[in-house]
Amino acid sequence: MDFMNISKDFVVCNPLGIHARPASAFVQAAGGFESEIAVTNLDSGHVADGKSVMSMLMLSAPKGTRLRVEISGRDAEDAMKALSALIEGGFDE
Amino acid sequence: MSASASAAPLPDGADAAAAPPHTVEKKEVLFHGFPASPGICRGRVLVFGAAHTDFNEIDPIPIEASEADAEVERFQSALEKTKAEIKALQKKMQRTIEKRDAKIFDAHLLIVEDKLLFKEVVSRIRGQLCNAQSSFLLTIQRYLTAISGTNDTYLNERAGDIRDIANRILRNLTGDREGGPSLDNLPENTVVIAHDLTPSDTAMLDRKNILGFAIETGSRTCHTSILARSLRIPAVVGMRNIAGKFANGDEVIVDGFLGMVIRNPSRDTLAFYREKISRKDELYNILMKESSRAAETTDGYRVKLCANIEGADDMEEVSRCGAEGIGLFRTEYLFMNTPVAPDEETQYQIYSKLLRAMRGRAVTIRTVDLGGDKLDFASASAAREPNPFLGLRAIRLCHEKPRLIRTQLRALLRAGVYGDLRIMFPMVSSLSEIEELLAIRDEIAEELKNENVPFDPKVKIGAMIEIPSACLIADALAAKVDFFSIGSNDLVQYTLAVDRLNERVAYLYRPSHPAVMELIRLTVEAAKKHRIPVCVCGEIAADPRFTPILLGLGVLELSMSPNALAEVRGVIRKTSMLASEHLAKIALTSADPEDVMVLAKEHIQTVAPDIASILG
Repeated sequence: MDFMNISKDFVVCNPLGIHARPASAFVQAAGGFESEIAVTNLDSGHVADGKSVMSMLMLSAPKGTRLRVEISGRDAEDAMKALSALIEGGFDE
Repeated sequence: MSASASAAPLPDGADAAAAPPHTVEKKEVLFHGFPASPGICRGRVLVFGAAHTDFNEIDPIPIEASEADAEVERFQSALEKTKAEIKALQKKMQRTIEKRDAKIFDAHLLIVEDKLLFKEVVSRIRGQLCNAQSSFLLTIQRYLTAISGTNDTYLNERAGDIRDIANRILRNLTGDREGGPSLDNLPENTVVIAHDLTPSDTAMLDRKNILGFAIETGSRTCHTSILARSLRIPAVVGMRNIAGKFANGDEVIVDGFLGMVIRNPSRDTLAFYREKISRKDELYNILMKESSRAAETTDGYRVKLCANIEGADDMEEVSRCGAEGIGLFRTEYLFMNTPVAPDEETQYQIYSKLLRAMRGRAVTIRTVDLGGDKLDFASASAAREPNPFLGLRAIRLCHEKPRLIRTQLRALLRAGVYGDLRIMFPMVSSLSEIEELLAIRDEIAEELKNENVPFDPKVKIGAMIEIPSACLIADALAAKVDFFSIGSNDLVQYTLAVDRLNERVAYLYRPSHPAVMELIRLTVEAAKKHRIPVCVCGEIAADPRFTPILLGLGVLELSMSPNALAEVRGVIRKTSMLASEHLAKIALTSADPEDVMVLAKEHIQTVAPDIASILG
């Protein structure tokens, strides 16, 4: 697999935003990939490490926040697929 | 040597944090609060209860560079412990709650394992030379501040999760077991540090090994302070935000005179306090030698001194201190920390054991005074009490929980055959309440008679005078009962409308207020007219500074914690009724409670300077 940089924008759609449970679901999913994952809150400009739950919580991303997920690494495509499903599915909430 | 002179060179908490480290021994740090119970002790810290940390106000606690490795290790092992705890909890919960809800523990685990959190804490420990607790707290504080950008339920939910897990880690860092350690089995020489202690926390207190208290909330008159004074151990209260600054096992000195707690006292500090403690012990021993002598004023007035106790375990103390009887046996402790009220037989056994042990000396037992700050047992109704001190408590429970008072009265009347029993009803505010209770007493006596159960029909019944309305109708009440007992703590709080548990208004809680003095005078006057005895059993009865004023108001019976008896007796034996009446007259006419205190202190200073010196 080739090294790739992918970027995709989302809008947080689950009612409580990225609180502890969604953040941990995201970090757990992200932890399964070797790629580096950065999440930017496009409304505030804050950037978080997608593999740290504390960092994700500090995104301050309630419902409606626009997020940009940037993934770089060999399994970037698979990672984006999994994380997209998670965010767009409202973190199963 | 004055204590403040010696304390001056000790670094203050804030200064110590800023000063560069220069010694190998652990740094002495001084914390200030309010003195709540006099005395001095040196012991080892036990941090009690869940941490109630104010994440907004954190002082960094400095360490030496050589301690950094150990602090990092301590933090690591606290994280490991926390992880294990959460996993165990998760396993337990998975069976009982929905899988989706159990997922919150995944989030907690991820926080504990979070590499950024770990890195930041470690860099604070090593880089800024702060101890593990404060490094951790400062890190958490930064996170909490960072996420407080939005302010809606969304934020609260996230902050709540972080606080929750932070408190758990903190508990492991300070060495507490989950839910906090218990107070019923303490290591030797323990100083308990807590955010707050409830009466149910202290009901099981291991009295042999407790040396002192330092608590974050509270005032001179809160439950813990009263307990500390009755145990004759030092307590400092109102120590904002200190629980997180101590770890179990830290060496401390608690100075209950000046309201200070000193962590890691230096050699000089220790030497200073050793001298102070020995002077106090000396005087106590002298006073204890007089414990068999009568409490008589220099001009020949006899005062009856009794003891307040909470359990039959205190009997040894009662006889050692030379009390003439028990002026207040609080029964609510029988009802606390128990899911169901003790039945009649259990209560009967306890009361009769007490009466037999007192061999004919008077024993005043107060019926259960649940409510107010002692709500545990009636907790179901407590939850609905918006204003517990003005709400459903004590004898007022006799309608909602009639069995509570009836069972107790049955047990009491039966036990009465074993000695001189007096039953006291707390929280009397009107005549009809006493009439109602006397009717219940009659019904129960009739019941026991019909059942052929032995009981004492002549047990004396008294009213506790602790509500201003009761003082103002004391004449009518005195016609109905056999004795009065003035409960000064509640009387002061109800007269001055000051919640004694609220540290922000505690400065207004002044037992020397002339209004309180006048209410006591009215009560004594009514009792004298009806020839019934009147006793004071509240806090002021145990405070030697108030003894002459009370005598002057006509109170010739005082009941207090056994440990306070020696000093009160000492003051009585050195003062005259003439001087006391003079003091009382001034107390009744003063406009300012402070004037009265100054006068009372001056009097003690003159007649008993040795006792004045240990009152601090």
